[in-house]
Amino acid sequence: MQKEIRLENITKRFPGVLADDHVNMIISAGTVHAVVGENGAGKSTLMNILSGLYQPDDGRILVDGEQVRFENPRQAMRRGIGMVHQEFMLVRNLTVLDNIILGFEPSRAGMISRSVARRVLKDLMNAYKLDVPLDETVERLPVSMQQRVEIVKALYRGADVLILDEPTSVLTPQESRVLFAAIRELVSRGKTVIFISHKLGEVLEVADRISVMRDGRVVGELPASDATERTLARLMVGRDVLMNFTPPGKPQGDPVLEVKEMTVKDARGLEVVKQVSFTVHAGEVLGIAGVAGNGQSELVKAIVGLVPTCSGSIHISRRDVTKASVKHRRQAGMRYIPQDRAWVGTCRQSALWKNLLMGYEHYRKFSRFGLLRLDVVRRFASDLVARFGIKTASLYVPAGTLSGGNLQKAIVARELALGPRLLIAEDPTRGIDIGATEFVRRQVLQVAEGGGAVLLVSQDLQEVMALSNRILVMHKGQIVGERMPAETTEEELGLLMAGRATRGTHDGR
Amino acid sequence: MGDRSVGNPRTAKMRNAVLTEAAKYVVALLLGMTIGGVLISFKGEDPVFAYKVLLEGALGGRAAIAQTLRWATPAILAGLATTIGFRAGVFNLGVEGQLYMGAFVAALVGYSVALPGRAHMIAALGAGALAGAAYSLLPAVLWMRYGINEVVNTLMLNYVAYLLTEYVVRVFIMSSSGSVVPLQIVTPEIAESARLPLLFPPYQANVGLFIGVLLAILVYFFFQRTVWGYELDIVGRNPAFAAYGGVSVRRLGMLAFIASGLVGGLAGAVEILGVHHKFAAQFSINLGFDGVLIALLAKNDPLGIIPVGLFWGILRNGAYSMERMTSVSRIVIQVVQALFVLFLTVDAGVIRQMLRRRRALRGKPVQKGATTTHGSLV
Ligand SMILES: Nc1ncnc2c1ncn2[C@@H]1O[C@H](COP(=O)(O)OP(=O)(O)OP(=O)(O)O)[C@@H](O)[C@H]1O
Ligand SMILES: [Mg+2]
Repeated sequence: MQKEIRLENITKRFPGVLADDHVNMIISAGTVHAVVGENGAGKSTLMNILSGLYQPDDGRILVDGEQVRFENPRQAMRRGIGMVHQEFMLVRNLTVLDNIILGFEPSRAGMISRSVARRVLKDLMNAYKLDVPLDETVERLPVSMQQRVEIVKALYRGADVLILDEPTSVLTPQESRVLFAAIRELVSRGKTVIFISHKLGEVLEVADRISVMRDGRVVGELPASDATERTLARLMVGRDVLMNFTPPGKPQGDPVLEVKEMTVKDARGLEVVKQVSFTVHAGEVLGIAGVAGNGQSELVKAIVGLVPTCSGSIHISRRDVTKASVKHRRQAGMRYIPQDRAWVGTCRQSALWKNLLMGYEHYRKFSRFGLLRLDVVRRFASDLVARFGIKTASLYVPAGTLSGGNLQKAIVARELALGPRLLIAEDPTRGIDIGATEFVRRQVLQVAEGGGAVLLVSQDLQEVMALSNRILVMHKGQIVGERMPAETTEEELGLLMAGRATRGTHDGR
Repeated sequence: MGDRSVGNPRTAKMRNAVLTEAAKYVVALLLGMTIGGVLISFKGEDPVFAYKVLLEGALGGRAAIAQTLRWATPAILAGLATTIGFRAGVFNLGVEGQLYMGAFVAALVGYSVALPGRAHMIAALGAGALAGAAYSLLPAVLWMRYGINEVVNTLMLNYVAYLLTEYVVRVFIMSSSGSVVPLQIVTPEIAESARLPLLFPPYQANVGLFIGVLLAILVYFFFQRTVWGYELDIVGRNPAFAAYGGVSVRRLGMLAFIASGLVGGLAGAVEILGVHHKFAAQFSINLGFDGVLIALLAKNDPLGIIPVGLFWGILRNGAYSMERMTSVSRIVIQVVQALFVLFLTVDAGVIRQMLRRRRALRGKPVQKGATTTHGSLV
């Protein structure tokens, strides 16, 4: 079942973009092959070609020396190649089991036989230590579990070569560990894994070989044992990347965001945020750390105005906005970089410029008497594209055609565009390459330096530690500790996040 | 990046895209016509001859063209009404009912009110439009306040609209209690002053056509250039993103709902003031429902509504003359219309893939060993 994949001179054009430019790559059977490169370098496109979603304009694919041509993912699957996409492709309101067998239903006398599928899946999950709840509907699962469902789905359908496109960008560090263990298990049983990531530490940890892409070309290929983060970064970006930041000094301007004894309930009526109070001052970056699902996301949604609070109050710049609309909060200077970029942060079918305008369309600068000033809007949009290095064919392409990292950059660019007073950022550098991560982090710090306040919620403890003045830890809907980054360690935060430490300096009122 | 973005292939690609798009329309229409042709030959008629009669009836001469324009007018207005809703993510399938309300109220104002000159006509048009808007208010509020699905509601209210208007005309205006066929249930004729000017007297084509075309251009402009149009477009495509950006999704959606009803009412008013000159129960023969098909054909592009509406006029008018000249019922043409939309909206990609798979099954060696990899697990 081992498969060697050879890509020869693969070339793919989109209107205005040469996404892949004569790419050559050999992926040996039974190894983990990593593909790294800047946003828009052509990694996802290449993998979409290998998995049959796109057809190359030029070049050929060889599987075990035999030339193949995939018209669709199904055909690639028949040759044992399966892919887990950057944005998942599950049917949200079907069960896990139905998602897995969809289109590949085992049948008995013309009827779908779920029991057969169930048996096969049980064996498979045992073999690879990848348990998924077969009868739960997908939309009720956390992202990390959805990802595992995607992996099991690919394996069930017979994947020998598994392509994982930025699997860890939706995972916490702990969840990533679990994934890596699964990858090792797969490889030890002869499967091949292709792994895309912007986190070079991970890449060095799991990969056997690494291909580096830039501007649609492969600019280097080396065994992981010969690589360091620094050499990889140089190959990718063409320069050294500096990752040392100093959080703004002792802040302490006026309070910008005050949350008092706020309680939020979820759709099922459970209290997911319990009596939380904190204040973010001008010139401050307040980090919130916590394992996903401990109320951070509901906390943020309530502050932004997307879900109602149950009790308590929210003030922005001393104005009570507890019941205010999103629009009013934005007018008070609030900006928000959301976790869910595909669904909340962008409209994928709409033109890029429309995406960059969102939230500002009423500004006098951009409209008069209800009419958009299209020339001003366009100048604004193209300025953002240039300033944030968003790689796109034009302002008029649908936002969904941008590469994952470039879409994220567009969201960040929009929210930082017109001097935020209060920036709420969830994983602001998710899926962004290291060069751009450096840039975005500096921009976030600049908000604070310019007298704004930042609330940073991130799965990435390193990011929280590097950028915050102060860190609050959330566990089960409550704030269980407050630490200064200089006076704590990742280990200590980790314990707090797991709810396994005594109360910190914060009294958790 | 700019230096590597390739100039020529790009325009070629765009031209290609336009051509495939056009080809899709042609193929869908031909498929629809072929099946229609089969139905015609069942009737013992020659399909080619029937279609020729249709074309001549629609475009052969001044009278034919005028009559085609007459039918294009409600098609454009109803298509536009539907599109306004669809673009904002509101599935107003109640244009038919709103059209009835508009027609009825326009007739009422047309015969019972006396106003000087054009003012009468404008008042009647306005009253009709407002009646349509008012009639969309109920499902709009149910949808906005309580999240009640608008599709079912609007569909049901269509029946309420034409039964209610029929009842009111019969009981309160004609005060008749005997049994009559619906088309004899009529209001008095409207005053001369309320009638829409004809384009080529004595034919029925009237300035309603210009109203429709102008409105289509206006709606296009609205979506392209105005803040509300921008916001509505986003609401229709991704409400979560609109809400995130601070757009009041429900309020704007409601606005679109009512605007859709307004245009639906206007369509009805134009029918009465331009053509019928009195309200007759069940006069519309699906004018409002056609709006859905027309919006789908135009891919919800307000400017696209104009040619599609004209095309609709050709089919409708041609179908009538085909019915007169041959033994073929115009229902056949309605079938062709529906099939056309169906074939067009079925994802062309799906069909292409099906064809490919068949080709692959017919024995190209592309998927050697496929069953074993798959079968090993299942
Ligand atoms: N469907 C599409 N239509 C048009 N352009 C596209 C499409 N898909 C990708 N592109 C373009 O091709 C280029 C390469 O995109 P790709 O998604 O392969 O990048 P990537 O290396 O995966 O980047 P990231 O790290 O940000 O995910 C980008 O400039 C992107 O805008
Ligand atoms: Mg990508």
